[in-house]
Amino acid sequence: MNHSKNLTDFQYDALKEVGNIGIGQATTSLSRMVNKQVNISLPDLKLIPLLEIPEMLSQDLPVVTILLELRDEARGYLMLLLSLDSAKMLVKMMLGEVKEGDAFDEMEQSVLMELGNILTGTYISALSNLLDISMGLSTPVQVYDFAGAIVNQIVILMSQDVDDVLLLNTEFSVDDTRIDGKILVFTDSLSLTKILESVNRLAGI
Amino acid sequence: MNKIVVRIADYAVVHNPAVLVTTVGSCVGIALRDPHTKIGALAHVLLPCIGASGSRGTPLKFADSAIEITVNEMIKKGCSKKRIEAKIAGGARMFEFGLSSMKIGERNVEAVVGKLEEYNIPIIARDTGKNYGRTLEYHIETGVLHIQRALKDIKKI
Repeated sequence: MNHSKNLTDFQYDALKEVGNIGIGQATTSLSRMVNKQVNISLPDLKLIPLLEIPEMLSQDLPVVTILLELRDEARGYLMLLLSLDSAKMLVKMMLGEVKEGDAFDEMEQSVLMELGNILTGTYISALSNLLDISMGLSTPVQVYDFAGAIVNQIVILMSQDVDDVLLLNTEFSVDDTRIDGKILVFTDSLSLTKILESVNRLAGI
Repeated sequence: MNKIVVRIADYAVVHNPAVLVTTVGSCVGIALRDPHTKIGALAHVLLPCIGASGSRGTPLKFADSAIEITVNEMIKKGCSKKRIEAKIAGGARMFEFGLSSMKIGERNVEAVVGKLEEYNIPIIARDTGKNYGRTLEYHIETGVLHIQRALKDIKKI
């Protein structure tokens, strides 16, 4: 845990750049799926105590969340957050239609999960290639609930091993639509050592 | 009304009037109140027992140690342990990945119930388990716990 809580500016920048490349490729794949330009914000990267995460995400409205577990040499969770309207619109763009109401039927759910698969799959394979670290993903689960409650459980799962987490937060929007969302990547502080070694190797240090 | 947000692995003990707020998934919110003094408390715990964990991190993370801390604080503020009543909510199973998340919500609830029993504090109402998150608002004046689920009406216990 010698890296926790004090990353150098260089390490921050390098990790941000790595995250940026991954997210860039992921949103390119989203762009192909919906046939529109996808814009992404500069990723925000923080090494923070796990227990501070729920506060950062507390919102009153429930959100559609697609969640995957990151496995192998880097461990953590990936979370795709969409407002209900954004999720409905995305489903509509891919299926041609969507049912009214708050729930998603089986077909719509599987479209959302596929979306999660493609976005996070591209992201992880970009990172895995770049860093030469083996990373795998679980199958996605889809939950519609308060972001705070969902993150709650992630905090529980991670807090059994670590106290700090590297959180990468990127916002995206789809051109000509009101679709926007967030991609959050939680990596535990134990995996960070491994990732930093790779970053240093890439930078020739 | 003054709303006080209770964070994860944290607690608050207050005099009336106040409303204590927190959001739980598989965590458990423990609402405690002495109806005579109208002093109430809300604790938000995320893991069952401090003993089994190797005592890592703050004792407020764990059901057993957090209840102990909260009850002691209430007594210090003038509550009688005999009068304290409990309402609990949370302990959901929102999603599962392999074996890692097995029944953490249920285990949290069990630990909370066990510790309250040990203290002879009656659980006068509960809304636990299932697969959804809950936003809790604990009204110290009335002792009513408002439970908001995504897209559902508020349930009062």
